[in-house]
Amino acid sequence: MSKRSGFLAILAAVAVGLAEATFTTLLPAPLNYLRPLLACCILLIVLNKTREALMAAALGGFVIDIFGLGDSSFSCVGLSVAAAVSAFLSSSILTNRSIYSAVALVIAGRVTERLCLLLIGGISQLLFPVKAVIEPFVSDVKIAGWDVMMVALGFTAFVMFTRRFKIIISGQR
Amino acid sequence: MPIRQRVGTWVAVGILILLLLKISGLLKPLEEGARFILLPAGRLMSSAGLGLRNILLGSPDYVSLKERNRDLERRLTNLAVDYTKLRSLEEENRSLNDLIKFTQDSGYDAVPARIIARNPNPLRASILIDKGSRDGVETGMAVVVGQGIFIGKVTGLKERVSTVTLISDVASRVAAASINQNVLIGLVEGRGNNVARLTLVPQAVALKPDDVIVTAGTEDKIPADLLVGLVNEVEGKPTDPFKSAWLEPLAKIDRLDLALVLRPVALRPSE
Repeated sequence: MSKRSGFLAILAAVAVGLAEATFTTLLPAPLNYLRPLLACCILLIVLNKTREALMAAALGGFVIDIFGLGDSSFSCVGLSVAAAVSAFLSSSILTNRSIYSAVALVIAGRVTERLCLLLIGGISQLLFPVKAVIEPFVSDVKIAGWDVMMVALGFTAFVMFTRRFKIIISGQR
Repeated sequence: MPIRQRVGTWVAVGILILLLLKISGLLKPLEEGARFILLPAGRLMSSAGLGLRNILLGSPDYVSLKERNRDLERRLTNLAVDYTKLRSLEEENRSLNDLIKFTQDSGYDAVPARIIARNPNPLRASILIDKGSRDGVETGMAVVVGQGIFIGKVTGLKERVSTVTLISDVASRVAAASINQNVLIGLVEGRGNNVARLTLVPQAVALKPDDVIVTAGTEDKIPADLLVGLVNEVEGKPTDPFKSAWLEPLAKIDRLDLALVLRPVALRPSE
């Protein structure tokens, strides 16, 4: 990763994290269920930029924690684990670079993130006298729906405007 | 050790270190510094979000607006008649437009704040404002909008931002009184989805639809007589020890972008 691309990645991660913590929360339903950070991380993983994806997840999650109002302020950890799990799945099981694997990765990532937050919330409830209010399942479905849409659109855009995933057969252009 | 395993190990170690730093609170100075740097961008993003929200919600249908307006005018007329009768019996002749004068007379001044984020969880109703302990805000202070409509209290405090739990949050509890009677009559409890309920009202207390509910003033840092909502529907059988009522909020929480934090004069930071 060059210095320039690293700096751009940091800036983009902070901007997307800030947008997720402030901008999207103020939109009317159903747009307020948009969570662009994980979708961006998955697209980076699909493009084989795993290091950038993990960095974006950690930085963006950190920004969400400092501005977020969610039930736990561990988005940094949750998103980092989600990105790491998705990267592992991408390199071992969902190894083909297709729209289906991208969608599967984002769903796996979102489920991982939720499980992390549930676990942290459960442990907090045991250790501290805090009642953790868990978001209803319907919210998770709506968030996952938007994730799938963002990843599918992003992947389609990459395919249409770059030659990244094109299979070139010799003699054919 | 293969490269992939090595990378995986380093990633796991990194995540563990992050978790430990978060739990131990060692990240707090870094968080405060990052919040200081990113707050202007956060305000910009929240303004953009609110602007887009106003564009998307657009102009409601004219016919439904007209009908809603007629219904509101009828309720307002009934309320005005009751309110005029009440006002003539009270010593102080305060009106809704004089609420700020009231806060000054009672020793409270207000810190204006911008709403920069909202909790997306439908069961939790909380907002983030861009004023914190540096601006003299303290936990438990009342937050009002418009001309003194109480929307919640400060429950989370950082140096430059504060979390305000709104009255419709499931964890919110506010002592309430009726504008007709200057005594504590019950508790306003949040039910999520922008709805609140007045509970634990003794059967002997007279309560009917369109009664105005205000803060009781029994809580520290929350003055009395701040408007909370209108009674929508009273529930409870005569044989029950308590009755309850659904409240209609007076402030449109979805469209708020500015709020006031009420603080006592004694806590004003030295200038």
